[in-house]
Amino acid sequence: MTDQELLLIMNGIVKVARPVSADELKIESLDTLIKDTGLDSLDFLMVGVYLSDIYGVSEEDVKLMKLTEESTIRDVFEFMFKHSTQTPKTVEEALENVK
Amino acid sequence: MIYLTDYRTVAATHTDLFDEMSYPQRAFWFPELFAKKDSGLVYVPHKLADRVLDVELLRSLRERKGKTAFILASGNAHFAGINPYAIKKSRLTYDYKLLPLTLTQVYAGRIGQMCGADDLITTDASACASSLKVMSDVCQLMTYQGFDRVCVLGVEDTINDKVLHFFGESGACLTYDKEQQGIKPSAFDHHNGGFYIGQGAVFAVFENENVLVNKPKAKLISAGVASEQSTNAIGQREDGQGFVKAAALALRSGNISTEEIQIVKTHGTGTKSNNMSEKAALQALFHTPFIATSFKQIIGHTMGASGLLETCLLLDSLQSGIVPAIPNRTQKDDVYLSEPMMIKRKPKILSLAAGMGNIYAAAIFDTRV
Repeated sequence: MTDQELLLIMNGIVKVARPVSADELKIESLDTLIKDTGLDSLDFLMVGVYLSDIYGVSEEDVKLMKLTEESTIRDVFEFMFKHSTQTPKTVEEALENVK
Repeated sequence: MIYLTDYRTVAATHTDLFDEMSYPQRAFWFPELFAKKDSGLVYVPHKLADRVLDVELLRSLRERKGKTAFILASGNAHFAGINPYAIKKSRLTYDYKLLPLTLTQVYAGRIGQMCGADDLITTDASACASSLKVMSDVCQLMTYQGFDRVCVLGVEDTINDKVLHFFGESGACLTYDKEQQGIKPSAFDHHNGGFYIGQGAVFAVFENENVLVNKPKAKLISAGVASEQSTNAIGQREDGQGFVKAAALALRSGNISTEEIQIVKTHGTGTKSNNMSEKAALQALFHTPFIATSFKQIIGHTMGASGLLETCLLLDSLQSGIVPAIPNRTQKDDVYLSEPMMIKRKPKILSLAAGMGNIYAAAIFDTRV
């Protein structure tokens, strides 16, 4: 998938995770630092759970994800790719289960 | 002065029979809220709350000046997970993966932030009296603690294995076996009575005159909350002492007499004990004509959300000058409405609610604003 498609997935998840203020939290780049996204720790917990569901990452593997001050959205996707057991072919397919 | 300036409500009007439950019963629900529940990523009460959390209203609240509080009236607290008492997996059964968000204060923290409540975010778990009980907190915060605005979200996880089992087992709700005997939901009636559980939520904004933006819907004059002398934590006294104490406190603190109250929005579960208790209370309190109605037979018992949600539904109805009737009444009397009633003047309303665990709440609203 292209960066643009991955951003669509991320923003689609944000919309579900934080529906009442999703418009204000649009992420423009995969290289955005997580701390700069406007998502709080709980929001990001939800995002992580949704992403792990999309990519079929087990709960045990998700616990291995270590994020730092310098971690970006791209880092999160790369972690998911590394531990994935399934890969959605389209953005729509990815978001189908989190709507 | 405390004004109810805005509110959003949602309530189900569709029932289904849950015959797979240990105590088969109907319930008012939104089946679509349970779609994809098996993913573990859906928490139904939050989906329900999203329906009253109007994005534009929240954005506007964040931009308004004034000291703001948010109260989550969560009733009997949230439930999540599989019911150990369920006889088999039901269409309601699910496990939610995001456990922290089921903690009521954590969820309140998220929503409070979204409505700009920078000065206080808190929760209330006063069972089914919860959202009306917090009217006392609204009065306290705005009268004595300098708050300009209090936002209240009333929502509870009503339709799940555990609640339907508990209410069915305790005989509190109308189960299918009683329905088979010809009993219909109603209140203050010799033949019909009781309620189904229902999904509903309310989000309401209370503001003082310093921060008013729009024309208010009503004034919150006063509120009272009380418990009664009792040895039964989940029962109600026949003499209605709890209702009387809560209502008397609201009347006294608002300097209002019952002669000024035209409509009572009852707790109105329609159970024998509530009929007896609430009727006795109203007889003790009122010596002048009034009318009373109940919403639990129309939308189901939305538990913690019910008191304020039903009050807002009554305010909606009063916009057209109509006081809704209590469904399925077989008796006619001058107080408990069997038919909808048209009223011409804008009334003062006494709203009542009660919760298991010996908690009673009353609030007085004035629709003349």
